[in-house]
Amino acid sequence: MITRAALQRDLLIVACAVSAGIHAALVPEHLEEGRPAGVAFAVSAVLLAAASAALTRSLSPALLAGAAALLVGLIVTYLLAVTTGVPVLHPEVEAVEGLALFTKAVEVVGVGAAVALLEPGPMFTRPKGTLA
Amino acid sequence: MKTTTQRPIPLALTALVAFFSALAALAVTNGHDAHAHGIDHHHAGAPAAAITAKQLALRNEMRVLAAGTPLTMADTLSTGIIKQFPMRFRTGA
Repeated sequence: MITRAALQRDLLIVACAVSAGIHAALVPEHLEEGRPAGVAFAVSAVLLAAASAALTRSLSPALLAGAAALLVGLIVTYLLAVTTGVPVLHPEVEAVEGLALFTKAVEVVGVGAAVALLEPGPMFTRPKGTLA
Repeated sequence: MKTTTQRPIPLALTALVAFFSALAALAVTNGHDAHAHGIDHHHAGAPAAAITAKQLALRNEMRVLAAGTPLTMADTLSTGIIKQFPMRFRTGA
């Protein structure tokens, strides 16, 4: 039977993988808009793929925090892009699109899973007999 | 120290998820692009449909020559309208 923690870990891995794939696919389109935006998308895709791959191999609070921070950063950046624009990377305000909303929804699920995993629980427990 | 009770998703499956996500994203964005280009072509085609008075007169003359029939009332009227209001039509060099 799949435990809650295992499900949350898998959700986080899939969220990072889906977001990585979508960001990678959007690199050429954003390179046409401007080099900084395209490079930012490429860097995001690489970081997400690295986080996803790392999470399949090991699970540590630092890795979970890093993945959560990356996903939150992408969500905040998108919110800025559709409201005020992002200086240097995407100065113009971007139109809201379905694909972007889907990606952000996936990332929100990933953040939720990472936060849940970071809470003290069965995933990170100290062995019996050890002190703090 | 961490303890994991179950194996996570395999790396290969994760890579597949990312790959198919990229494919889906490309399909969606290409669909949007094609739609946008279709609209652009439609708009771009509109000015090309406009003809000059000279072109219309030439077309009418060619029709007469080809069919051996005189100009219809509509042909005569259209040529006349263009000559009456030349500012509404492009004037060919």
